[in-house]
Amino acid sequence: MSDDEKNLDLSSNQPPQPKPTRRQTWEHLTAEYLNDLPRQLDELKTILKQKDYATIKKHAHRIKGTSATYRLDDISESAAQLQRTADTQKPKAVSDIIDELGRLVQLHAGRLNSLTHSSVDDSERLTDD
Amino acid sequence: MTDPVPVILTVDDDPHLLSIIEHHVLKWGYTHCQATDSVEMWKQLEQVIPSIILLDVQLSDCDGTALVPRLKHRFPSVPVIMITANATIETAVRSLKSGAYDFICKPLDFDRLRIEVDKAVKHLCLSLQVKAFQHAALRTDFHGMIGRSEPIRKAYRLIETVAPTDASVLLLGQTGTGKELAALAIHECSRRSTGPFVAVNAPAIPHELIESALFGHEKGAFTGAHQQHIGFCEQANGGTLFLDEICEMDYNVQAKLLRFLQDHEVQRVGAKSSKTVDVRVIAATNRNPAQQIQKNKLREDFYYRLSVVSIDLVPLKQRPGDIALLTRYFLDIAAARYGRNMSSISSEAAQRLETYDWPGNVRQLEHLIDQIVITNNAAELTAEMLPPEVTEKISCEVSLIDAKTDEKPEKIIPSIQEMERRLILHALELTSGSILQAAGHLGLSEATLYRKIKKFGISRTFTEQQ
Repeated sequence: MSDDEKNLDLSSNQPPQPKPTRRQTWEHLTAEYLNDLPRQLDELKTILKQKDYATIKKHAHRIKGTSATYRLDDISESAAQLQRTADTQKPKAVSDIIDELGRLVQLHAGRLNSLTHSSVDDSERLTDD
Repeated sequence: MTDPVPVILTVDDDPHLLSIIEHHVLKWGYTHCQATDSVEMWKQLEQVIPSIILLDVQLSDCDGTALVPRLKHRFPSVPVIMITANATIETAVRSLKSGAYDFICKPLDFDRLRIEVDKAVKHLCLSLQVKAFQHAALRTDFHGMIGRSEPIRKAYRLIETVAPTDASVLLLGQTGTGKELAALAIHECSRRSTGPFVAVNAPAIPHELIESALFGHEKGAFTGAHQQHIGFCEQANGGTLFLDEICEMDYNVQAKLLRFLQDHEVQRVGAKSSKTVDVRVIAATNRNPAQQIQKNKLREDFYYRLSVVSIDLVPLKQRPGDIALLTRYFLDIAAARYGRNMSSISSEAAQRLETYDWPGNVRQLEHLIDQIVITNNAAELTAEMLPPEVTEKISCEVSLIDAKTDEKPEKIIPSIQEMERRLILHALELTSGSILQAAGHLGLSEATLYRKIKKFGISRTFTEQQ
């Protein structure tokens, strides 16, 4: 029996799954983040009702850093604006930015959804690193 | 053996940031673990010692920079890289002042982060190497050998150098200086460490059985050979054979061992054929080899074959500082072994132990500490627990100093007989118990010295080495 044959999982009837490409992994992680952001924004709205601006600022700071790392620059900029506005303690202004953030999240989620349906270059597979 | 994969611990309050960092870190070939707050971080650190810590400045439960001093205290070698979305000079300065290795801003540039992580891993490896060298320089324990004085460190270095070779080694040193421990250390540091270590104490084997003990015998080879016996030389195949007290070996046995050293062939007594074995030989003696060759007690050719490398293990009295270290070591072991609470040594006892000559060397010190721990159920080892020969040494020296100077002796002047007894003890200590040499120093005949030893009831430990 060859080594390749030995490596085959004979107990499974499923064909072996190809390893995800770097791009696919990135898109998957970004999608997970974008799916979670609406929950974080809802949480911000609840905190706003309690007028806990210090916590809003802290959350905005976190969104600013992580979204920038995910290359979601406009979300990061809005989060930075939210961080600054929280200092003013103006509920309407803060609420508007949270809404704006929600709109941006929806926009990116839509874009990503259309991207994931496009073809993937095999040369980007993680196994080819 | 391959080096372990470095572990990167990332601490950030956003699980999504942790996910993307993990994605990259794994891609770079490192292992990743993570925590979302300080509590989780300390829990993680109970399980794993990371190679690098990536720590967010603003955590949900505390300021990340406040954690750095504690992290550095607990893991001084592990670099901590701060990450923050608040890229201000003040934050950077605060991070670096807290002891962080570096500072990286969000959004994370993963190319830069990789450079920083690689650099920090290299930094860690280097600092660990430096620590290992420092530890080696200051080490007090080397494969069971205890000591940090220069003579013993020199022996450690020589053992490390010679161990990887297959060269025969001759260990020289007085009784109790640790020759067998040194032989074992050579074996443990060699490629043979997984093989057997067979120690042969020649004087303990009856003369008529030594050849059979060394080379083995076949069943029926001689009267009483009821079954086949595999000799020490064959038992040590693939390992090390340690021949202790070679000068006490029969001259003819030395010749047979010489042949064994040359061709590595073993022929059991009564066997028709021989067998080749792979054995490294380490030998030891407490005698002066040159003198023993002159007295026809040691074959010259055997000596030259054995002494490809000679390692001198100096007497304990020539190892300044090691007596205190060894006393502490033996005290801890004896207290644990005999269930005693003796944990400290009075300064007077330490001073007396330090100034004593230790003719029986490390073994004598070990036995003395054992004896004290067994017979005294106290928390401290005091000077009163020491036997007279250890404490008298100082009195004798005090008396001699007083005699040389014109100062008034503060102690009672001992009798001439007492002084004579002390002088004999001193001469025996200096000559490691050699009656012949001690008699020469004292200007007495051997017979007179024997008579005086008997008269003063001096311990036989000094005469055993004859």
